[in-house]
Amino acid sequence: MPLLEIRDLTYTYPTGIPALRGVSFAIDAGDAVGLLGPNGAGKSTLILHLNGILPSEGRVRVHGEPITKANLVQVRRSVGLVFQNPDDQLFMPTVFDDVAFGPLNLGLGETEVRERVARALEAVGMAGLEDRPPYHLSTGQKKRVALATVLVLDAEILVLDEPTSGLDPRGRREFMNLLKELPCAKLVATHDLALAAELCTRVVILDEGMVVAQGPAEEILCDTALLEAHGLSGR
Amino acid sequence: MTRPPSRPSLVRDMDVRAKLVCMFTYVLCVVLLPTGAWARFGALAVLLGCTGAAARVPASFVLSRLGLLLPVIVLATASAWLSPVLGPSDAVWVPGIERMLSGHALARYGSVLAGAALSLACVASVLYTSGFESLVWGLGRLGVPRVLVALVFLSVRYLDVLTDEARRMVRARDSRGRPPRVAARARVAGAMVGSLFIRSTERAERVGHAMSARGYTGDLPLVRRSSLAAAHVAWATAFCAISVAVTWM
Repeated sequence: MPLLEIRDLTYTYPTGIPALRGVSFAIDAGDAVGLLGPNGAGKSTLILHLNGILPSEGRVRVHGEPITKANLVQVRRSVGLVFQNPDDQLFMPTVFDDVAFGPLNLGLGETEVRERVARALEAVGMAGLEDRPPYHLSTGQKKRVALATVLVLDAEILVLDEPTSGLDPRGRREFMNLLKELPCAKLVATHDLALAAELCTRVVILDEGMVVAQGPAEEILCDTALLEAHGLSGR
Repeated sequence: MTRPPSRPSLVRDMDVRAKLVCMFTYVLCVVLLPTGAWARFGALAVLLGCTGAAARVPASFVLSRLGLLLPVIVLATASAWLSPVLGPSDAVWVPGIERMLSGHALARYGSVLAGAALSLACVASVLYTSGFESLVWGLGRLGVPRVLVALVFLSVRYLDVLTDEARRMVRARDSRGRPPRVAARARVAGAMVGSLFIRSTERAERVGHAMSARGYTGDLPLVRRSSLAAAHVAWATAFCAISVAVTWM
């Protein structure tokens, strides 16, 4: 049974514009899947369905179970979202409070929360910055703390929206190395082909709300005609 | 907004809930003082000054925050200046400006200013000794409605982000040249405010998504900031009792 399964997911914005049209794919434990697509393809909208922020009417399943109100807490613990802009993700007054936000919402005790926060910040190389306000960090540091806010929940699937946007080359390299070391399954929404090639074993291409191709990364990423046809290559 | 306090003291390290109760009581007492009750204003100022000294709040910190009173000072001065003199017994000769002003108006606006200054000094002292996130935690624990706590918290949290965004917009506008006419400049400023509002609304939606994704249900989860000890309760009770006694003596 796949960890996460999307079956024929369709979504239309309240304005009537279709965002997703029959999207289907699955992610298994340990998978690193690249979700590629040009701007406006529906990547971010799809991501919001994966832990129940937007309703999926049973078309998104985690561990074989459709997302419902009853299992929402467990789903959000399993599927961790890291948003594109860390200023949206980091809303608490200190780094500690931000990383502790999720575990406290789960009702965990203070001692366990402190242990988890310390572990998560250590994992992303941000230990020692607990008392700093997130808005005074560099973009690279914010990205790492944003990652820690999800790792602290022991997420089984990490969903990252444009994880390297806004990072300088060194920051990008360090963040990619950090992502590669994480053992959990990953879904990386991006239009950075180099990132997808290095990080992902499988690739799904989304365009105009539809899956237009999916398969092994080395195969899809070498198909220049396909990439050009869907706005992923500038040549 | 706050600076990290340096040296420890019992009053400074008091539980934030006790501080908040003291703050609300003090501000309430100050605003309830009748016009011209200068001795009582003085007594409450001495109480605050002594407590601030015990908590090691630097006077420079409080005085710098009193600058926020400028609009109140301007309004009170203008009102006292424009208030009509009600009769010979009401007329007060004010040296320096060489003019007769209404004694009643001077007392009324002086009291407003004194009340505003003492209230602001009290709030500034609590902020200095506690830090904003502790205050939010304390407000939540004191039973302030969670929507209100979240609103206050997120407004302050995103003030810096919003200010930065406005600054970047102004810089971008200036780099493309400013319209020569005031009306055109006002139109551009209006468009910028509108754009900032829409961006803020969109950001609010994204932040809402990020909060939901990590299990937010309406309560701001913060780890315990301080513990209420018997000494804190005793201090807070004494402070509130003195404030109330001064107000009604």
